[in-house]
Amino acid sequence: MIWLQAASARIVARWTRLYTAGLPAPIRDRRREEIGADVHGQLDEARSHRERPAMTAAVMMSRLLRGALHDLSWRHEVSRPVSLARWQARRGWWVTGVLLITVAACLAWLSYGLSLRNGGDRQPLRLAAAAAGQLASGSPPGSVLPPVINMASNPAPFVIVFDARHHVLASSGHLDGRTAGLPAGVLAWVAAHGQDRITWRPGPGLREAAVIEPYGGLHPGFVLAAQSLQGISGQQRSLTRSIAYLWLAAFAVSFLIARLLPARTTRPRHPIL
Amino acid sequence: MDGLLYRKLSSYTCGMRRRAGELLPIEQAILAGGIELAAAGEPGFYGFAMAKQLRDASAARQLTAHGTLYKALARLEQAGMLTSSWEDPGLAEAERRPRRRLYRVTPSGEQAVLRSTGQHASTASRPGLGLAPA
Repeated sequence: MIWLQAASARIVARWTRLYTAGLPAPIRDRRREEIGADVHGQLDEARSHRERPAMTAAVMMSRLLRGALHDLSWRHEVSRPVSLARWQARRGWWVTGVLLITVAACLAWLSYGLSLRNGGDRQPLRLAAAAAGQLASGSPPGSVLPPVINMASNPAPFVIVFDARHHVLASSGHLDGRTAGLPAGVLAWVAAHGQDRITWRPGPGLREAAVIEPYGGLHPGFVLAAQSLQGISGQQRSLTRSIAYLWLAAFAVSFLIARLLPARTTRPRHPIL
Repeated sequence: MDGLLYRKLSSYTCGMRRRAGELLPIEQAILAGGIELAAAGEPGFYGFAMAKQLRDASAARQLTAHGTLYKALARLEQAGMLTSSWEDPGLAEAERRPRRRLYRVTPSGEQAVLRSTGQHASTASRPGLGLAPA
């Protein structure tokens, strides 16, 4: 039955190690050694009085359990100034970390958002290049169009062909039965600089990835190929939400680490049992 | 000391508020116990010795809990009513046991327990402290 006493003493030692963990070494080691001497004294007395081991173990456990709340409140009292000082020492690092996390989140949002948006140009680029080639070789404007769509309800790609004086020659994209007008200056810019890629808002709530390509031949002009950004906008919204949640989580976790993580400690020089 | 019930010794709660200079029952008991041990020739007492002293003085069956006892000792030391130091390590080694932290009641602690006993004298008799006004 001696093992009962030893087990109780070990439990007291473990509990003491637990509630003193992370405290400054002098405070921690002193409490551990004091409890060690106390437990040793109790065991010594139990031996000299020939106390039943079960009784000694029960008394020891009872002392532990009845005092556990006081142990914790003592820890709270002695660790308050320590945790404040630890926080003051770590605050600079934490702020730097949060800034880095913020910059990384912004960069991720920008780069992935841009790559999503650029991905929206792929189909219009292909369509515009093919149509410009056909028009330059003399094909009639109506022959280069994909099936006609209503751009308010259908996100499929469409093509609009303009002559050199910016008049619409043919169009497969309609909005409320009419061909939507391009903002002024877009075709003039293309005439001066060549191909352009824009995000076009032909109507409320509509965003189109548009590519405008000049073409030559006997009757030169411009061809616009566009596709709705509806799907990409959804992906961009979900990307923004994900990055915002990740940023918030990183903010909270880094704060908790900076605030609560105990300082690195060494093992006490005098083990208590 | 028999005026102090064991229940009062254990009533050292974390949320407890007190007036400045006021001693809790367990603090009074520790100081009184320390004075008695000093009078009996003990130069200082360590935690378990005080736990035994409190048990014997209050005729309680149980030893004071670790957390309760050491928290009270820490408070009293912080208030300047106790001083403490490690015993000679040679002594601990010779007796093949861990070294002990020895506490002593300071003059300020003696004054405090006398004041506290005086305050309580009008409401309750407190024999057994073994104290006399200086």
